[in-house]
Amino acid sequence: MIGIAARSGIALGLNLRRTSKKHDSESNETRKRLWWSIFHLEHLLSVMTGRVSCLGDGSCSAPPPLPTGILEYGVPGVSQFGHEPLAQACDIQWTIYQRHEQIGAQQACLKSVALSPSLYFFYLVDLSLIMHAITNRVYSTDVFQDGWAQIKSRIGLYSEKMDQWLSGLHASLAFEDIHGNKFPRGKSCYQVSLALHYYSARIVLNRPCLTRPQIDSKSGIRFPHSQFHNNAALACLCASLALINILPDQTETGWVYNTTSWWSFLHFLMQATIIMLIHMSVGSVPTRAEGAVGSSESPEIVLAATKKALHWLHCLGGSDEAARRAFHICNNYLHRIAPSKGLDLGDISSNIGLSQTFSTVDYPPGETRSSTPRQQNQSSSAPQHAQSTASRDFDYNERDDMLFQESEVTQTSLGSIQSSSAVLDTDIDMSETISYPTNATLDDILFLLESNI
Amino acid sequence: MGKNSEVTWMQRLESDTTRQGEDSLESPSQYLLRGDDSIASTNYRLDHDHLSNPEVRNAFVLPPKALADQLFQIYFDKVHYSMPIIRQNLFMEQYNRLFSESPINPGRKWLAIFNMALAISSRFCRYYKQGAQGDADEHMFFARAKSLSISENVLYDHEDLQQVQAETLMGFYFLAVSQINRYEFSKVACKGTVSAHVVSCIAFSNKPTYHGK
Repeated sequence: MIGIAARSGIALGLNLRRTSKKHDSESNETRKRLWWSIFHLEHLLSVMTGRVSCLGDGSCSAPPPLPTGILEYGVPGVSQFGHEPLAQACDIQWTIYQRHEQIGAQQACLKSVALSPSLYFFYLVDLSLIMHAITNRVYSTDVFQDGWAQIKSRIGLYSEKMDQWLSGLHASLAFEDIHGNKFPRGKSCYQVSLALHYYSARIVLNRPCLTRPQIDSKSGIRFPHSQFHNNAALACLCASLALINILPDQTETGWVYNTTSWWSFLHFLMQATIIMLIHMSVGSVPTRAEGAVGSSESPEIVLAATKKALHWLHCLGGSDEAARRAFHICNNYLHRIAPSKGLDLGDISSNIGLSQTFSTVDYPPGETRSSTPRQQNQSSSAPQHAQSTASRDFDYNERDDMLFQESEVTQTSLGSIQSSSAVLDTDIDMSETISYPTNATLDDILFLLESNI
Repeated sequence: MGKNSEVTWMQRLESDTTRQGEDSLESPSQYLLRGDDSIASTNYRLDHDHLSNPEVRNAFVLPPKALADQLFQIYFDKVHYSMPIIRQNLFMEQYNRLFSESPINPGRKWLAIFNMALAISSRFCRYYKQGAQGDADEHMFFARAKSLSISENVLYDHEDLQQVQAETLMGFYFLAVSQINRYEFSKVACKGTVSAHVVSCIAFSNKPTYHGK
């Protein structure tokens, strides 16, 4: 649907810089903000689905929205463009397009502007543009033809861009200093939202380096990763932990809906949770050396953060069906690998039932609902469990039973679910798109794809 | 789902773990995979759910002002700061005139925007109050907006700003209800109001792979 809106916006020329004087300043600003809202929304959806954006590079020449507080608080009919000369004097540009020597002046200018929703929106779209470039340049199909060295180069480039974006944040919106120290809790909704988007971007940027160690099939020798690879994998994990750290320790639904961009919160939470599950499963991320300052990525820390994430998923699952499904997927996986990895899951409810009548009580950590092992089924595509639920006795979960019954009927329509998910295959292997099989660097890439998660 | 989606990460983690044999036989049986490690099994979103489509007798009817006031307050507090799709001051001026002593007749597209904002706020209320509030209002608001923004002239009308705003709000609504695969929307919306030929034209224009080059 957002694709329709983007095409319509392009048809109206919202993506272009306006040179005519046909519209007054407020109308122009409204059009810019509408366009950048479409852009941000379209980018968010392309990250969620992993699909290419319909807005290619160079498709937008519209200037940035003014980072000053206008329109939102305006008295009808009265223009409040007192700050316009200030914004124009700064000649605001996006971070992604600026050279290093230009950034300092703009950052100083922005830091002198009063805090407003407009300033927040500017930073948000600025970060979205960097993320847009990341998904286009690091995950595009043609990047594999360029080789792993090119991927590394781009990860480094965009990491630097993100550092620049972070250092340019207005003081009242900053959530982390240049040394990586996180600011204490009690943040505003603008800070929380920017922090979530930032750590999500870090996760996506560094994700290609979070892989299983390569093993020689004959000798069984593990090939060590390069220093760059290790650093990027560690950055991915640290971003996940930092994202979880934003959340209060005590789960509370109200915090999500009052303090965060609630429509994308589940997506961010799942990104961080899955990264931590990958880390616990693969174990390829070298944590900091023993005795080093800030060994915050120890297995205990990661497990504790994962448990916290699961508690939050469970909390949200009381009112959001998608969160409930997400909880079951992650909880299921964690319990699968726990025995072989020696994970202590003592304070995670192994079988939490979410009743159909939405509960207004958040389950505190450690509390379990009594249930039989045969009561819950985490996979809706396993219809054979429908029969097993017939023998349940107490704590009957009507919602799950309906799900089972539906899954019986729709077993043959799993294909329709897959088609609605637009799945290419269970394993999207890009090797078929590569056209130079004799390239030595390419062999490394193909080997990497085979062992990549 | 593509490589940078967390759904794909989870799916590949599941299949890779199974292949590596890392899940232990000591795990309780309900946690083991049942031979399905497809994307669909790790997609936690609700794309396969059917959207409720209540019959709309009169799309021009307005909700009670008290309810509308409350929902618009929520919209501008909880959504607008991240998505300034609507020009707030102008819209609220028009909204107030709608309920004044000499009410104006709003256009179809303005009402579509009006109803979409109400639908989004209703969804927020449903989440926040954890299901205590019924969802009938939300679906009705959305259905009205849909019928108002999709008309017999959709193929022939040129784009205008209000149409773009309504479409953007609909896209946002789908995101908020975890239905991010709604490329079928155009067919559903047009059914019963336009010919099959128009449906196929609009569906073609919705292709998400357009690169804009």
